[in-house]
Amino acid sequence: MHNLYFDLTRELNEEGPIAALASGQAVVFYRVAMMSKDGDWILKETEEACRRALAVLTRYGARYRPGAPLDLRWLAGGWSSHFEFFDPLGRRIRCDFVTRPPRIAREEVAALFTQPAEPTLVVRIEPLIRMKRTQRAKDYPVIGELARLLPSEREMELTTDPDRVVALAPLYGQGSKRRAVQAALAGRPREDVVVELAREADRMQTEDRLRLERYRAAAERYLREFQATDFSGFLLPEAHERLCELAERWLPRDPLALGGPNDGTAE
Amino acid sequence: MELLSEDDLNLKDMTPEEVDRAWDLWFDLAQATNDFDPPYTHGVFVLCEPGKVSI
Repeated sequence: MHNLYFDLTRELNEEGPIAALASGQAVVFYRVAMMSKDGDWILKETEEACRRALAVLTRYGARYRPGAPLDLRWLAGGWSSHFEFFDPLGRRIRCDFVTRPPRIAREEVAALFTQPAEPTLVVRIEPLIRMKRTQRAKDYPVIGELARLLPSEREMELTTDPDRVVALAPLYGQGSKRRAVQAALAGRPREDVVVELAREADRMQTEDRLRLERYRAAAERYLREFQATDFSGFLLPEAHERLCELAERWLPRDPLALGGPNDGTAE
Repeated sequence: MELLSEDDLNLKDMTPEEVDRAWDLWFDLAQATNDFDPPYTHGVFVLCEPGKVSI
């Protein structure tokens, strides 16, 4: 059986590019690792894209999981939408969507959907690496492996592998602003490179956690109301309408608009 | 130093059909831990812990 997440990506894009496979399934696509049971897509930020994605999910009998409605009013504020269904073998399929992925500029997202048609639309390596700079420690070894797929100069700037930094810095490190590269280029001990990489990863994890904390706090009441509301018996289109009503009451459209830590798109 | 396991790295040498079969087997096995998975692995709700309700 094919990877259903790849099949879904093709199905979502059948009438034109609207959804780029990202995160763990993109890592599978690039053959770095089998590392995710869920599917995660960057969706084009248009009403048409939302409508088509909901239509595909409805055909599979998907249900909303607790999360924002697949609607631009909330997606444009950085929220994510979450769905679940079971494949013909009874295996759990989870599908997550955002239109404003963290640490990816809006122009870069828009460019995803103007690139030449590909059978399976997948986020390219460099933005994928930036998306992987999460609060989870386990994403950082994967970044190192993804970086190996890049030209050496870019690998040096993005890898999390100290040995690759040590190897590449003498060849490409002149002018690099990355502290780990500067340490390697200056001939400092390998341990110094390791420490600089660890500090860098820690900063990234902390930034991501701060961003997510603001969404967590903003979603608290909404999620309680979600749990308390009985949506059973509604198919996805009706559930969607009711969820939008709930979100209008309890889910602030843009929790980052009031200031505080940045939204992660500034590079 | 290579950061992931040899099994993971060997994915690059597989044919598309072999990758599909490997994925299928891995995904089957991974279902065993469904009940223990965190509610979210992507998106902005990952620090939230709602119940396992779908609507």
